[in-house]
Amino acid sequence: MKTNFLFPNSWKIFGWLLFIMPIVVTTYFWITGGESIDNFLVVNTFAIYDDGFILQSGNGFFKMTKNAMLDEVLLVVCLIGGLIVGFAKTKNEDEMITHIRYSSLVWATYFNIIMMMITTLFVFGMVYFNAMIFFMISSLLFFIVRFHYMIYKFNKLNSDEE
Amino acid sequence: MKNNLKVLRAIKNISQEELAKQISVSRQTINAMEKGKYVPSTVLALKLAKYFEKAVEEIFDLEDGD
Repeated sequence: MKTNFLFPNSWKIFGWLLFIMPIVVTTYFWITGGESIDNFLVVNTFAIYDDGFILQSGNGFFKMTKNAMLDEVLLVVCLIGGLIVGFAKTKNEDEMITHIRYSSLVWATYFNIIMMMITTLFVFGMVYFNAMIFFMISSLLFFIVRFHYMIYKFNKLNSDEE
Repeated sequence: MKNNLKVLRAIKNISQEELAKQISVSRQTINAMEKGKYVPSTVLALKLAKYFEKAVEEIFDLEDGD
């Protein structure tokens, strides 16, 4: 059966690397608390819109603005890696795996939105702002964890049978 | 949905692994179907019917809840 929108299985290891590396680097900056991540990769970059709130370079559409791009690059790399890990074919891809993938996606969507609602109602201050940054990758993260856990559970259930 | 895949497989005397290979799915999928934990797509149901040389209705049967 034809399965759409999936990456080749050989990409998966590469995807894990792209997904994990930015999380490790960001955590390193966060834990050491020394040099700010905003001191790296400071370049002139194109902005569709900049309100000038943080960068103080004036507001406007379609302009060049100076910004530390390391955090932006890490987030994009992390999202690309997450997409590949979640949507690369498994070694024994068949319609059952497709079924598990889709139900994990539904589960992760519910879980993510419930977590966002709880955070919005009961978390305040800077922690809430940081949580919002986490929620940029969390739906992918919850999906990846759920998908692999369900496959693990499924294989375990099967291993005793013939 | 019920099925008698396990019986048919016993009659043909082939393993889950072998059946899986014949209809190009994983062994886990065959096992899940035999245990009633997975309802196959129409394509897979027809492949199974073709392999066992039976009508689909002779392999699969609706249950009350379906």
